[in-house]
Parts: sequence; structure tokens; C-alpha cells
Amino acid sequence: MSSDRKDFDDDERDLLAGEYVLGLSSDDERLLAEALLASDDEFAARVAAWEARYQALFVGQGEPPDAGLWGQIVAQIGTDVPVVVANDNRWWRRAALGSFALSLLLGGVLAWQTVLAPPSAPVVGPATGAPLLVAALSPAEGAQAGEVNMTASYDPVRRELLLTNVSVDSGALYPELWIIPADGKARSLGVLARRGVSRVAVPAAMHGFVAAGAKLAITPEPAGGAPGGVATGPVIAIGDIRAI
Amino acid sequence: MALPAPSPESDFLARRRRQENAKLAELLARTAQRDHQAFALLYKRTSAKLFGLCLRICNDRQEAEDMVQDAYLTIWNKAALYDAAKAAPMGWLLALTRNRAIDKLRSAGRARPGASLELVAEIADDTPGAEGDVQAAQQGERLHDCLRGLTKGDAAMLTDAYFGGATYQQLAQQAGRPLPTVKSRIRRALLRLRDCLGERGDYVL
Repeated sequence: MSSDRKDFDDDERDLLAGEYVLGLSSDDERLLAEALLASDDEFAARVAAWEARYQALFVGQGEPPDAGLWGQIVAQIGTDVPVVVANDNRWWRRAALGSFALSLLLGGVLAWQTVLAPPSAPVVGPATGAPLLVAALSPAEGAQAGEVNMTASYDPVRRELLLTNVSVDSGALYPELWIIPADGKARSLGVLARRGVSRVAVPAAMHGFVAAGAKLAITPEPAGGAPGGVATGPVIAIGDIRAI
Repeated sequence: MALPAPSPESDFLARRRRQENAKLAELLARTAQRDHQAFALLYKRTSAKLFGLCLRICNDRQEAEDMVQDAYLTIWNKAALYDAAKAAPMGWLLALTRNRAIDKLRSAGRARPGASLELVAEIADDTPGAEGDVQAAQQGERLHDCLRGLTKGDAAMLTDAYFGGATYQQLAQQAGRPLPTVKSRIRRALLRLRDCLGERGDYVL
């Protein structure tokens, strides 16, 4: 009896996982699968096993594309990115976000649409051997789960944050980047380009703030940044810095 | 859930897959740091699989090239999102590519009617492990057998879902069958595949 029950649970979970990867789940099933993916390692392993099965069955070895394709890709990724420097007058002003924005901060959730698998080899940073610091910023409220608008990665050698895919809608205002370390107080890192990539030089006094657990947030501000170093706009995108 | 003990054969493949995964994960991490050389190496190691996937999705070489180019630009921009603790790198890359491609097909209002049967035949012929690797060839045979264990109709529906993003609604319409019938057929087929292929999902990729 109990082994029948176990088989039933196994089958149900495998079907939930298998259909999820194929995109055949109902809305409720998909939400359940995504919740389990985030919290249940055993379920995540089942999803990964299905991904592996489908890949083995359907993808095979593939075929190399034309030789010229790589050149086209390289031409589009480019190398020159303008550097944004935070206004040094402001770094020392303790900017506290309004309480509404702060409650968004505390409730901020980062959602993924990635397939989870059993843990594999840990990632080590290239030159220094230290873990890489990255963040994915997503809309702060009412957003669809899994919708990520930009990523940030930290170059510890140049002490620059590179933000890519900046596609945050700041309206007629300008997106200003804030870092919120453990003490909960937001410091400005400067105003970003409205679209595309930004490189943000992190002032010396704030190097220590760029660490796993700190948050990056964006608020729309007037040209030149928030007057007085205090955010005036609502938090429109937010994410946690994490080490990979 | 207790996983079955690994056989010596699957141990070797598992070890090789772990090495490959570690290498790809490292290349993704360096790509996130804007390392062009790492990105080039990542492309070299993964573009055949990603292009093959795109070819199967849209069946047109030019379109597949556009699709795979778009995929690599997305990878360049979103490499920082890859979490080695949560996903195998090749799986992440393929899922990213497939999702973008299916979104594009959907927004262009296109499905892939009728292509599935040729695709199934093609897949059945595609044997992995061409380097004369005995273990890989044995795995390849097992995959063949499991694929052949599906009826043509079931295989067509599974490929339609995987490559074409078809929903149960669409599959039922195409098959001219009630949705609950199609659902239970697919579910039975999935469980048979799982039992045939084994629980661990340790395959040569």
C-alpha cells in the first residue's frame, strides 16, 4: 500500500516536472512547479532530469552554423561603453528611501525562469579566484514573475559596475542607481543611461558596499540626479547582489 | 527518493559530463565579465547544438541563423544570470534559446504543422557518440530504443510541444481528439520514457 502511494507521488511529481519543461502545464500547474523549483531540491532534480531526457532525445549533436555568423555576433556586441561616474559630492549623504519604497525593498523578490539541476562544480572567478558579484534587477511591484530587465556585474579590478540591457522605464526622468548595503541606507551611484549599457565607477568610499547581500535599486530622478542625495522617485527596479 | 546506484558505464559518462559542465560554467562566468575570448570559446563549444536546435524549430536555414544569432546576443547580455548551483550550463543555454525561439514563433503567429513526423524520423537516425566511444554508443542505442517505444503520433506530439511550443489545446485540435484523451496519452508516454531512460538523466549531451 505504502509503496503504491510512493509510486503515485513519484509519478505525479514526474508528470508535473515533465509537462512543465514541455510547456504543457496549466496556469496552476505552472505556478506550483515554479514554486517547487525554488524551494524543493528534489523536485528541481526531476525538472533537470526531464531537460536532460528531452535534450538527449530531441537535440542530438546539432550542426555548426555558417562560418560568417560569429563575425556578425561580434560586430553587434561591441566594446566601447561610456563610463558613468557617481557625483562625488553626494556619496556621503545618507539617503533614506521613503517608507513605501522601503517596504517594496523588503518585499522584493527575484524570480527566475531557469531550469534547476543538482548542484555541479562551483564557479570560480577568473583572475583572482574570488567569487564574482552579480545582480539581476527586476521591476519592483506588480511585475510578471521571471521578467528581468537588467543585469549588473562587478569588475573588482576596475571597481566598476557594468549594467546591461538597461530598459527601465523612468518616463521623462532619468534612472538613478542606488546601492543599499546592510545598514539599509541607500547611497547614490549616479545616473544611468536610459537605454543600453552603463558602466558605473564605484567611489573608493563605497567599495566595501559592493558585496553579496547588498541591494541595487533604481529610481527615476530629475536630470543631474536626486537633489540632496535623497531619492524622490519610487523604486522601479531592484535586485540583490550575489556571489557566483 | 533514492536514486539507483550508478553503474561503471554511467560513472564514466557522468564524470565526463561534469568536466564539460564545469568548463562551460566557467566560460559563462567569464562572459558575464565581458571576456570576449571566453565568449568565443563558449560559442565554439556550444554553437552546433544551439544551431541544431534552431534548425529543428524553424526548418529554414536563414531563419535558424537569425535565431541562433539572437540567442548568442541574449547569452552575452544575460550570462550574469546563470547560476551554476541551480542549472547545468548546456541545459540553461538550450532552454534560453528554445524559449526565445518559441516566443518569436508565437508572436509571428506561426506553428509548425506536419513537420513533426519528418523530425521524428530524423531524430531516430541521429546517433550521438560518433567518435567510436563504446559507452556513448550504448547510450545512443538506449535512446533509440526508447524513442522507438513511442508511437509515431505520440512522438509527433512531444516534438510539437518541445520545438513548436504547442499547448494541449493545439495538440488536441491537430489530432482531432478530445483534450483529456490527448492529455492521458502524453502522460502515459512521458512515464514510459522516464522508465525507459532511467531516473538519473545521465546522458551524453
